[in-house]
Amino acid sequence: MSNSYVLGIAVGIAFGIMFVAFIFSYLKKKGKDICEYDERQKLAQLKGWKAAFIAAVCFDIINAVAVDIFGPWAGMITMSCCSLFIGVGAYGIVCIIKDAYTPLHKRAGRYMLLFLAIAALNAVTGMMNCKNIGFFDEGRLTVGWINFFAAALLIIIDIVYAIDVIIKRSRAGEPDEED
Amino acid sequence: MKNLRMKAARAAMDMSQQQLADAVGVSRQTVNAIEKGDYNPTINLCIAICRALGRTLDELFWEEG
Repeated sequence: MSNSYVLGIAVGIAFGIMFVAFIFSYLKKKGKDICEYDERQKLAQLKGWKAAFIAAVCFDIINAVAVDIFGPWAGMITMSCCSLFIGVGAYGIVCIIKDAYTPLHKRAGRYMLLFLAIAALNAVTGMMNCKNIGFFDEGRLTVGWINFFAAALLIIIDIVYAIDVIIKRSRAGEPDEED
Repeated sequence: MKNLRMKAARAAMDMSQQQLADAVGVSRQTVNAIEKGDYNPTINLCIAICRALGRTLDELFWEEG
């Protein structure tokens, strides 16, 4: 990895942190609650974290065995990121199913659109990276695929969100469910 | 176990689940889960619900029989 590449990553991360901190600070000054969850949602999120941990560990175990038998299918960074994404995906799916993903007073639709936009951005970034460094390196996936996996994760979360909304809307009007 | 007394008290006040949820500061799905018996609220939430519906804890949350 060249110095300019590492510097670019560091600057990108620093900029991202500053941008997010600025947004949070701005919203707090306006007196708006950024992420407020009720007690049931917080409990459900704990279950999400548990699912994330189990999913990531299972992936790591299966991946370790598969790499041992068949050889590495990607670089260490790519495989580590896959484990992370699978954990995050498990957390997201559990929270969506238990209605614990969207904070109070926030609209799920905006989150879905945001995820779609970020997925598109990641897909484009992945294409650019893979164009520079190639899709494969000695038969293994390159680091450029990380962005593709991130895009896939966000699209899967969006699909789960959409299915959940459709199921819940079809249940609205049943005796125990209200719109 | 379903909490039909809470549902009846909410209906008597002509409140929707969303309105009750807004009044006590939780999500509509949480109110629904409490009424269906899928979630046991904390004492603080029980008190908040009782205040919003103008009932006592015994009337809404004490087990019958």
